[in-house]
Amino acid sequence: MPQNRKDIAVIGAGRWGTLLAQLAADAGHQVHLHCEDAATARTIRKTRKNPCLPELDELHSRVAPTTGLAMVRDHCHLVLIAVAASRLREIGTALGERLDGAHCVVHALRGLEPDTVKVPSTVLREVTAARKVGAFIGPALVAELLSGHPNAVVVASRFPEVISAVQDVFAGPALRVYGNRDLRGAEVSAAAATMMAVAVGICLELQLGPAAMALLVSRSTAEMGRLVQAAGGDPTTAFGLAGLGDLIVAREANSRDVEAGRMVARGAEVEHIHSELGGVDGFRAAPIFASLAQQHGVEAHFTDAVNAISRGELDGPSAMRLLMTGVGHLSE
Amino acid sequence: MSDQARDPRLFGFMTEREAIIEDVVQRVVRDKVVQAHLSREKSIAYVLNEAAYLEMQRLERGASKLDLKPYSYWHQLSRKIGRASEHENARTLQKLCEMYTRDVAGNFTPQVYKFASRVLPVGLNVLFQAQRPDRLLRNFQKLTARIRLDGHIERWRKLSELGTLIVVPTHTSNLDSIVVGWGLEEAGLPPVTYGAGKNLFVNPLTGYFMHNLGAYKVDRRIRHTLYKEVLKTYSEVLLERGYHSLFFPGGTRSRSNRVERNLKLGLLGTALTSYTHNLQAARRKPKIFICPLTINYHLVLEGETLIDDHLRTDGGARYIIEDDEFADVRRVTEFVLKTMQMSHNMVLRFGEPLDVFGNPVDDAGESLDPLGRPVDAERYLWVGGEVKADRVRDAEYTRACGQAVARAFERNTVVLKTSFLAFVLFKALAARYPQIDLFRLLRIGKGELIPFDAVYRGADALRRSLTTLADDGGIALAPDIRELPIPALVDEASRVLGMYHTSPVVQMRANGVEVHHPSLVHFYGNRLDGFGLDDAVEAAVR
Repeated sequence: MPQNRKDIAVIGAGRWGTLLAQLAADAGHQVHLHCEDAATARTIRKTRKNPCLPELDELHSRVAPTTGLAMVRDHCHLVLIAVAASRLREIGTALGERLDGAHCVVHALRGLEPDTVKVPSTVLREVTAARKVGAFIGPALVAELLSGHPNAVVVASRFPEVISAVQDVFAGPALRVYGNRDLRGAEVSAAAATMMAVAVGICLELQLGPAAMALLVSRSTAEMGRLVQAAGGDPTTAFGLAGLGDLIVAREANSRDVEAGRMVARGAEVEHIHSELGGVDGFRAAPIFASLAQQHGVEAHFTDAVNAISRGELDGPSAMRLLMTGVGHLSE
Repeated sequence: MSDQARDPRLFGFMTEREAIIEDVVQRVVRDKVVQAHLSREKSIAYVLNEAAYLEMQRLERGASKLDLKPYSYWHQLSRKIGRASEHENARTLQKLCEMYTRDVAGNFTPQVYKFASRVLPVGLNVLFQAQRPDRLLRNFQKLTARIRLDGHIERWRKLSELGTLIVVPTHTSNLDSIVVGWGLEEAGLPPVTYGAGKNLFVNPLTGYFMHNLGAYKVDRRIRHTLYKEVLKTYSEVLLERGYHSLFFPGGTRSRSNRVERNLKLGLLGTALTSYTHNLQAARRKPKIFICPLTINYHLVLEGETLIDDHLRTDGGARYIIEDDEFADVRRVTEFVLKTMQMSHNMVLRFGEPLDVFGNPVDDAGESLDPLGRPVDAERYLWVGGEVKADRVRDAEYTRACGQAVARAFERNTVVLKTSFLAFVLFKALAARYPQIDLFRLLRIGKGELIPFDAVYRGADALRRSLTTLADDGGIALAPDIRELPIPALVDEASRVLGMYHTSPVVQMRANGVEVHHPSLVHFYGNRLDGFGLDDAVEAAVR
């Protein structure tokens, strides 16, 4: 019965998932942490530590590791998904067995599904009956959250109920949880930010200086706004935490996409970068955004450039020259 | 056959009519009174003022015999509202609600229904072209053989006994409601009630049937909130009392002939409201099923007027068109007679029924998730274990439902040869003038000859793309699209396109197909717009 659905399920016991479970338990909630394999669940149960998140001294006693999903139907009202985008469809399909219209389902993914290049909420809609879907994104970092530094995230959902469910759990003195009704815009911004982060990486590696960086960040944010609008979202969402915020944190924390950009600038081949870094979200997103821009007649220089780079058609320095000066053509 | 199918709910309408009217008035008035207490902005005086203001504005532009009250009434009212007590205003509100509800409420007489659904198609002829009874009967048989019924008919039938159906068809012609009424009867489905433009009730051709076929009157000229609330509540009450209903979710006839993708959510929203009320009142059959239906014409009666209206550059399309082909008895007769000469002139395709949240529903009325697993639909409405309405949440559910209906429209669109050929011809025409905008293209395209080799190449490419799409369930194809050799298909399609309109849409020449009426080619081709077929055909005709 729904009256008993008071708990929270966190699907995925990686760094991010474990941290979310910990934060929710800290806030007084009973949390079921779903682990992919029994060994991980056993280790966590026994040691109260997760090797994925060594910074965490002791996992809260209210976090119960599990490998089944039965608790979702019987006990949980909020389901948080923190798995790799490539596994979302599989885990969503299994979850679908247990979900009904009363559940709030929130993912904490930034990228797009690798094969279909769809935003995560679309994938969830394709494999579950859940309507109250949301995204938990933004520039928060695991280490900072653990140390209690001020952080902010955004929870985006078309349903106010989802926003308040997440705020009730996570909002606290150290974490500000903003709500945004523009789910599409937030997901697209987060995905586009990974792409722009590649350009940021190139700019950093080439040591073009603060003015060039400012130019790049402000113009690429405006471009993200146009992409969001073309995808059916609110362009201003790109200027918030899920877009600009993600881009800045990517630069500050030297994210995988930024690192990919640095490698491009050093002359590395795209395939090498992919295998070295274990897949680059920004490269995956670029062709999709390029065709979105083309369909809608949107001006998207950065997108086109990162897309050309991701296809090995353009090297870092010429890409940067193109972006900064507008000299040169992509199609030739 | 079940009891219900033998004695459809609607047959009892006249005995319930007064109770329904009372129910509607009570709900609207109660709602307005509650709202007035919650906010000054929504005081009863405000509601009345808005009504009076908008009605005066409308009537200044011209009165009509359809008006319930003259300008002077509203003028007097507007001067009185400010001085009247709250109690007096509430009484006025009550009276207005009653007046509107009575006007909206239809009649339904089983006798007329049975008569009409049997002979209506011929009726169009009977009324205006005296014909000998034997010829009449032959014509009737010919005509009914021309409408093919297709799709999930059996499931619709089962669900009609398990809950209340809302039939949501695509909309391109004023003949649609008549055709649907006939099609439902033919498919062994119960009749439906629906809101029809008040102008149709005064049309000599349809007025009689509209009055008596379960239609209720919608006066689209009235724009004020009170009237809209009456309409919404009326359809809500009918649904909750188990009357199967029909809405055109596209709002008006598709001007461009594109399959409707942006749907009006207002009426779909009443489905969710009624379902919620049914659950809260623990009614016996609370479920409401949304049943998408596509009406696929080879030729559209009002094609010329609709596309002209769509292409008007001066201030956009008209919302109501009263002087179109439908109002012209000769044109309607001509249309019916001409379409009788075709083989299979139209297809009604019954789509997979949906719940009010947009999930598909199985034969037992159970909602299914996208992978076909059962879902307890009631739980979408749970707030702390109880069924509760929530305006913002419910609007989102309805939006999702609207999207599901739009997808069902696409999937159940039946490609007929006229649209097939028109799509190819228009792409070929555009390929000749790549630098030109649509409007100039339509002006200079008249008389352009598209050589057979280009037509055939385009048709072949289109058939390939369509077959792939249809095999994926993305669209449906009439059998001749799959089976006929391309030249024969082109030939037949041109013949049909040349049949009815004031001038032939296209004409076969010795070495190609001549575009005779570019905007109608555009119109018929538009049916296949938005299915991602463009690239393949454009490449083939270039």
